[in-house]
Amino acid sequence: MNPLLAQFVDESAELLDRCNEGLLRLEQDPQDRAAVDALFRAMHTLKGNSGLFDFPELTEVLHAAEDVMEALRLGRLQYQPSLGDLVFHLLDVVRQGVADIRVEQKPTAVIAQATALITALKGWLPQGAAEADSIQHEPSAVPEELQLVLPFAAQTALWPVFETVDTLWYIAYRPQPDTFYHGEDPFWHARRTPGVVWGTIVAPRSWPALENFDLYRCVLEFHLVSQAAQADIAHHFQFQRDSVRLCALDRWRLADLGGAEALTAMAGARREALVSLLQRGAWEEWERWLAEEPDASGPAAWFRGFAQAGQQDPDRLRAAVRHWAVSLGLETCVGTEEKPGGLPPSAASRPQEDLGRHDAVMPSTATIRVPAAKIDRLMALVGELVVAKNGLPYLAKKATSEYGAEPLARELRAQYAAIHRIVEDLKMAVFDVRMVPLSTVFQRFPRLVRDLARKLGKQVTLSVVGGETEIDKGVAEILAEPLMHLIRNSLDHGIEPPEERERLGKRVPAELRLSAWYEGDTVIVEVSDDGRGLDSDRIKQRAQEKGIMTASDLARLSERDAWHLIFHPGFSTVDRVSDVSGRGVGMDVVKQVVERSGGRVALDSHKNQGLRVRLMLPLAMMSRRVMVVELGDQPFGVPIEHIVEVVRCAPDGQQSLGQRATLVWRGRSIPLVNLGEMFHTIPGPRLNGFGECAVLVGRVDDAEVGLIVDGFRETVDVIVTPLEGPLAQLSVYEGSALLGDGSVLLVLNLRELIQWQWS
Amino acid sequence: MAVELTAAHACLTGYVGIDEAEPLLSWAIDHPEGTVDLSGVNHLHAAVCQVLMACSVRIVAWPRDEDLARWLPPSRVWQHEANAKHTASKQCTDL
Repeated sequence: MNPLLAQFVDESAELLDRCNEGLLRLEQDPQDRAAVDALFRAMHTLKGNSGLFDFPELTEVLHAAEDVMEALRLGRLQYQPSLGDLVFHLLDVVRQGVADIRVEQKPTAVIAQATALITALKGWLPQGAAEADSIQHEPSAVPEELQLVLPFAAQTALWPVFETVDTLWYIAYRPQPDTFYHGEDPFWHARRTPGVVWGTIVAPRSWPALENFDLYRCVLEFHLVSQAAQADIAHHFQFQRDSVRLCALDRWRLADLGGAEALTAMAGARREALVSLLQRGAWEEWERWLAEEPDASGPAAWFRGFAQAGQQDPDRLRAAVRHWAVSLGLETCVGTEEKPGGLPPSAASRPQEDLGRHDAVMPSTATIRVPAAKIDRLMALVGELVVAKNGLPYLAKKATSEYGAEPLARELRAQYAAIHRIVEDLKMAVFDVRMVPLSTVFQRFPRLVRDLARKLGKQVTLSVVGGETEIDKGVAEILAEPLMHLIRNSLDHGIEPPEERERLGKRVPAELRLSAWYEGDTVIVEVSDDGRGLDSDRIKQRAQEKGIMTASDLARLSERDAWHLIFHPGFSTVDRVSDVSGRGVGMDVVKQVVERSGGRVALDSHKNQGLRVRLMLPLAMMSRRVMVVELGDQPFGVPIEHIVEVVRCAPDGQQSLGQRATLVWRGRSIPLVNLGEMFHTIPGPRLNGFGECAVLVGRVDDAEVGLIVDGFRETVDVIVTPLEGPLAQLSVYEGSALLGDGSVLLVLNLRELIQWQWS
Repeated sequence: MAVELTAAHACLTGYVGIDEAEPLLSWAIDHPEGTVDLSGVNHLHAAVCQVLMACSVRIVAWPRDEDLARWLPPSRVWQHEANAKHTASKQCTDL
């Protein structure tokens, strides 16, 4: 893909987001002028950008949408939710189309739906506007994107025609790309237009390589000027109405097309004389001026035609000449005593042109676009640097123990401290680059909530708090999916229909909150609603029906533990499968995804008051902090986020409850797991001089567990890579990491370990 | 026949319909240096126009049909006009 197109694809995504945002704001407050303007500008820019490429369907669809936005902006059309549906749908189709461009080099999705979309959009336009837009054009308005392709020579040739008619019609005929398949020859049709006085074929800006040229796809446009009556032209193009744009061309518009140019092309003294005599309306001098003109064609011929056609309205003629002269900096030869006779012909169309130009200006910002892959690479390199740096303490230790060079070891440690500081700073700097505000994830949800609420017939307001909270790009990317599931679940299962809420005396509309904030090294993202909340009895009942747990096990389950059953794969409490949620996938995905990135999920629910789901996520995914524990001679890593405390435990602190060993810890009794036994390390638990063993108190899913290990070592930052090949089957390991001395550390997956132990 | 194709030259006459577009395109691909004579043409199907405009062949003679001639575009085909004027006589002797 060429760079320009790639940029278009990138920018389109942003513009579409802006459109979405504007539309959502408009939906909340249909009178929001700023929202309409923002929406129109984004749509306008998008359309303008698409015009740079050969995607006629895309441009046409966007153009139709822009017309509707324009009507909204001018107050000719009132916003209605069903119009919102259509435009939202359009934005989706365009988004898909732009994605298609990346893959297939053409906006397939848009091509497929272009006609339907354009028809639907046109249906919204007020009658007058729709007509003005296609075939019955009011003489004063030039369609904004209709570029009059009228060479200077052609303008000169058109002047005499104004002796017989007052208005000519400029016709831009852009046949449908598949027109040849309908047996049509658009060129022949254009040539046969009644009253043609000038015509040309307009080719696309660039042609593909001949080998790829699809000769049966029409890419030509035909522009022509006709002196026939508008009705005759309309009749001639009656089957091509959508392909034809019409613009009335009176003498003043024609004058405005070439006046400044003609004046510029003239020699200085001649030009001043001309401006002066036209200003004074000195027609007797005019003939003399013409006679002196050596080149009777060119600008002089243009002015002769102009003067003849414009004589009937000398005031307007003077105003036009004055306007050109001023724009060329020739104020001196324009008398100051005269006040301009009305607006110059071009003034009416100025504001629109300015709007277009305003959008085209490249913003000079202090930001640069960097492909995410480059940042990822930078991050990976920093990660490796962290590991390499960790090698220095080992080297220092070796310098002392093997070579007895303590002074060298000390210097190495000092050096290490310096490098460590720099690497930490570097890590933070790169980390900062990767940080993105959560609003990049949150921004899609207002739309999702709106669509789902409409579909489900529920009334919901979504409040988003903490969108500015920044989080690692990698975490942000994986967050979208779980959040979507949570929001869907809330809308589908949690929030009651309006009637039910009224009966319960609850507020309508319901409230759905999406919030985020920092808590230490983690970011908390919370989805809460004021709906039904979780019903632990129904959850238990469903768990039994699905055979997830036996009735006796369920009876012993606390309410809070019962809630967590909703994370069980294949669990769903709703009987009907809706296309919103309720397929029994979703909540387990949420949990999996969050845990895979080193986070946790917590639930809090109150019956009929609502459900709160908290996702606790690490700030960064790059390196994990793990504590190294020993089993026998072998080191293992335990992710620090699972570690609550490390304790020494005398044998009398352990109790046996049935078959299970427990540890009395802070007044509670928690199950004990002897890791050494599980890993068959020899000899048994290593005891210190007081006969105590080392116990690591870990927490998984609100449940604490004590792990008996042989010893504790330091905590290290490592990059955990998942195991590959047959080893990937070993779910008790989260992955492996490289330590500073080059040895491999296996990092334990505490959750799997405990489940494996219990089973 | 509306189109006569030789190794270096294409001569189009009368009404050139869409059926001629494909052979003309193949010819243009094989003969990027080829020249085209449109002097006897009364109408070119839009598809044929596209092919002539998309390829780099040189138009050595423009249609005598004035109505058609005024339509032909100020684009790539036109760009070769200046050259064509110089080389037209040479091309003719080649033929």
